[in-house]
Amino acid sequence: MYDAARAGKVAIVNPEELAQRRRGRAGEMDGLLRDLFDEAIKGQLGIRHGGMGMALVAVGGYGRQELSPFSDLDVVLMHDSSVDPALADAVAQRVWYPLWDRKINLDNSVRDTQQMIDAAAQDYRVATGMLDARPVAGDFNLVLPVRSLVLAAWRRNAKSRLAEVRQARLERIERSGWLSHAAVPDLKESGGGLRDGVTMRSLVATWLVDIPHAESEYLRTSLLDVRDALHEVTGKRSDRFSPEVIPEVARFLGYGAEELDLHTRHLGWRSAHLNALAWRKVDDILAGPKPRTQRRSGPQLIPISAGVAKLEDEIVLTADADVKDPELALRAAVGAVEEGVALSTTSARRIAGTLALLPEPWPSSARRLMVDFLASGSALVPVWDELDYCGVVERWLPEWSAIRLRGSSSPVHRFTVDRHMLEACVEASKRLRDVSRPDVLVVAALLHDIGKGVEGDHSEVGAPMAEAIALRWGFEPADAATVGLLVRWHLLLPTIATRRDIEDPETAANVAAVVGDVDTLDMLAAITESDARATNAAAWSTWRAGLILGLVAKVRAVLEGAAHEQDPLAYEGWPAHVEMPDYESLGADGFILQVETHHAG
Amino acid sequence: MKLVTAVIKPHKWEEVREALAAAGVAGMTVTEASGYGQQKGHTEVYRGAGYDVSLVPKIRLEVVVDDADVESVVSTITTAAQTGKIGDGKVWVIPVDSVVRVRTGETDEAAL
Repeated sequence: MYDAARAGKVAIVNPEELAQRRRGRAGEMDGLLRDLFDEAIKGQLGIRHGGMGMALVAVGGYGRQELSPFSDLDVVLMHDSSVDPALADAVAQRVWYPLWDRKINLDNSVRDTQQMIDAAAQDYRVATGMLDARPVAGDFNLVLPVRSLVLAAWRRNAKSRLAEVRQARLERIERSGWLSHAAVPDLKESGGGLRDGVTMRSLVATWLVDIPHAESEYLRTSLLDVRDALHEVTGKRSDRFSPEVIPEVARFLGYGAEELDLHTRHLGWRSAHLNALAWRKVDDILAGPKPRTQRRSGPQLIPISAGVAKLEDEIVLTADADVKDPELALRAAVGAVEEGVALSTTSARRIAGTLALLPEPWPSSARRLMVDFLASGSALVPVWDELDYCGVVERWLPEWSAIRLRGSSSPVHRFTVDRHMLEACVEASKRLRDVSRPDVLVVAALLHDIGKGVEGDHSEVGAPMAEAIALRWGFEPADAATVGLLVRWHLLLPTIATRRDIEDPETAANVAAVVGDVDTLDMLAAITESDARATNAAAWSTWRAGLILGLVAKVRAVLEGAAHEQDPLAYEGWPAHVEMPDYESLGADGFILQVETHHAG
Repeated sequence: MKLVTAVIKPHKWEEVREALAAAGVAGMTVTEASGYGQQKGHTEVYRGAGYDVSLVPKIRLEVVVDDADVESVVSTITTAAQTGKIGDGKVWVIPVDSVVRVRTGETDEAAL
């Protein structure tokens, strides 16, 4: 947990004060609503105190007394069947209008108790909101029975309701990404964000699953602090945690900008992990009881490799696993991606606690396992994330810690640096058949931005880092050098294609001189496309792809000695009357490039 | 006022932008475009498979200028974008009836 005071910085507003402010805003609204309700009752019924059978109820975040500066005020005017609906509506109008006049973001409704119960039965959002219901004014006795009924129904119908909640959560994360890894996350809507924290509360309310409550609440309230600071600083209700506002929010909270970004992403990462564990348990329950044959014979442990087995929908370590075996983690990882299932958190923690370091360079068996892991496609991401969360990745790749959860300096990126590198690796795994050395390709794709963790041009400083890692992972020196070259020049093709005249024969010749051979060109082209696709859709638009692939075709022609066969009238052809430049004589010094990043990829 | 539209080779964009900036043109709209003229398109071969590049990647830039500046802006673009080879692009000029700056509501020359 970050302690600003211990770090020698004085926070402008500390977390305790922010929590007090949230409660203070809620208290202020309570007072206002009570006054408005009393006046409304008096205005409608001509009496000062009344409202029997009617109550104003705070739900959602307001119900929890967690009002951020721009939070909606979620209020229900609830009444029982003895109250004339027209009277309830009239009272409600007298309450709502003054709030609208004050420009308060009001989320309001009028329901009788049965409508309230029915609405909660039909819409899980009403139900979860009611779980935090708190009477503010009027007949308090009206509220508790309804909340109890909604809660009882929530527990009784948990299996069907949670399927609904789960689907909505997946759709929300699809739209808003993950707080930990999206380039511009939404503190509320992103996976691991505030809404996930509230969802966890509703999961726990079912009694189907349990979570570490203290940690969950710490994560949720810490995110609330960041959200409050964001609202205070920007003066807007937006929950988008964009790079341009972070420095000011950080000053407000007494953090450094990068420090706050990391702190917030880490909160989201931990929250997402807690959510994943909880939802895995829920999924087990939603899947229903196992067939009787399975239950009779106990859990089916299917051996995958030495010390690694599949148990239902998880990869686990077997009881006799040699936890000192340095390749055990890699075998478990490969087992998970090949079986398409999660790696058990318990097993991942067990591995992390006992993992022995591999000798350097790694034996070929370990190198092959790592390549298999990296080449596994989209299954790579969750398993890598699990192992990273438990501290295993850092044992394989200490350089990873410098880029983990780091926001990208370029606004075109959709992910943090570490997730972008993984996504580039996933993209590269779709192009394994396009290259002669898929193993070199996936390692270079994973490491292409490793230089972003240190000072300097990331391509330049990343190249020797990548080469050293490849050597450490047991690649031959020539292959490790190719990994370094691919990392060094991973921005070459898009930069040249968009900034140099690709019709000019010297352009292709110069690129050919850097690349050296067709095999390397194929890998560079594959990394370029993978990098771009992992960056965002626009980075590999038809327009850009046309330019880059046009350049690749021309460089290939040079490397294959076929450039002279091009049509002289063709746009990107090689004019027949122009003599081919002797690119081999150019050498490394013959081509000085100013490779500025077109997308800082 | 006139709208000057230019379609140029992508690699010439930086030079054109710098030249226009030096000539006092502060803003413009830039689009990644595709098209063809005399240069046609053709089929490239990539990893053994042909792909059609009949639409050639270009940059399209648009700038609204005062009548008095049209000639110099066109000249600046033409000079900066020229390579002398097929596919250098086109510049054309059309009249503009009115312009409004959204932020301030200023109109016509004041909005440029």
